[in-house]
Amino acid sequence: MHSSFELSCKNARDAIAVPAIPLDAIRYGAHNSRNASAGRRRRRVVAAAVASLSLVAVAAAAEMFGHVQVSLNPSGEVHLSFDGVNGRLTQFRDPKGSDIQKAARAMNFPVILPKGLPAGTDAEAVTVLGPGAMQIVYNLPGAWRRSNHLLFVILANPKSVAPDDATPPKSKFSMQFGQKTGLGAVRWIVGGEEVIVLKSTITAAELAHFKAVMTARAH
Amino acid sequence: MATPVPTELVDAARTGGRDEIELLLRTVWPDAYRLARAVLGEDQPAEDAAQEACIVLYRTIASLRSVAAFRTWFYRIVVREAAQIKRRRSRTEPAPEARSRAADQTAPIDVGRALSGLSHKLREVVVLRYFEDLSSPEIASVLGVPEGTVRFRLMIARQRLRPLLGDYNERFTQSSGEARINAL
Repeated sequence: MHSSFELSCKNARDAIAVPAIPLDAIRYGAHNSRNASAGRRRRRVVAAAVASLSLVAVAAAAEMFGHVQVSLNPSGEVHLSFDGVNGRLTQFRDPKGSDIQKAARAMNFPVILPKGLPAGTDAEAVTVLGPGAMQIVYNLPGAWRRSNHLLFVILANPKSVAPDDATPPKSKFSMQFGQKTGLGAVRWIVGGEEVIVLKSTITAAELAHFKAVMTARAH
Repeated sequence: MATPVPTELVDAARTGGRDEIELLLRTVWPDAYRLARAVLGEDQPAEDAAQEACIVLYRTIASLRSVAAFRTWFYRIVVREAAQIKRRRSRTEPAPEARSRAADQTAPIDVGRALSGLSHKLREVVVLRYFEDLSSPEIASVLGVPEGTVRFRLMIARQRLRPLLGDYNERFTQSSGEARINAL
């Protein structure tokens, strides 16, 4: 048939310029995956590119609800302050569902766990900051997100979240997120829980779906 | 025409170590990229799809049972990854039609412009048939659909391409399943 079309296709194929093989990325992707049957890629590290985490010792402890306070500033940073480490700051890497449930049970508010994230998203870490808040870090799927694939979700007791214009309390320990991305954060309340999501490569549509599914779970 | 992949190379990668796998990857990368590029019509998503397919190859080549089936096995992975990226982008990014048209206007490939008017499913079969020279049974194996479906899609694709290309006189019989055309 249409030999001219076949020929055009062959020419078109040959005309496609092939970029260099990204062997490092392929190696990294292959070696950082879970087992083949799970078929899901785990990508770690690079957290510094998205958010930097620092433990800073400062002067005196201040009042905070549930031993933790979450503050958001206008430049998009999220500041987590807590008044102690032992027994409060607990982190699970590569958490199983049971680890996340365990963290949820340690909270002093009715936890609604995140649902409705893009298919293929998996949890990288869960951190219990105190009974007032927990944080889950997710790996978003898709090579197109490249180096910015982490999504930080904080589930907090609304009483542990400072008003918009409040400055972070002086506390013994603190963590800051989002100063590198400068994309800001979004927050909403479902049931008795405040959800704070640091914007990353999660798209507006994905975020809207995530919020809608979580909101629906609360009813 | 795809670069032939020596069976010894596939066998060595299947049973060997990192060096053998990476040699195979270097060999198949151009084909993977070209296939993904032809199916997706854009450079960056094509590179993502080819990269994801190579990661899958890296992880699972040891489980390949038949060396002879390597080509269809690997194409299946590339096509699947391309379809996933296509789905994800169409869900999250606005107006893919307008974007592809704009991109294609500057593209040097007329065939690419013609293909951009086809749906993803039709585009897959055309690319596998005319770019990669696969037979209908091979395309059916790659896409995981019956052979009849491949032939039907090819027929519809030819009908859709005919006014765009206009330089061949092949006569196509009208399908009795005309109503199904719009579903593709």
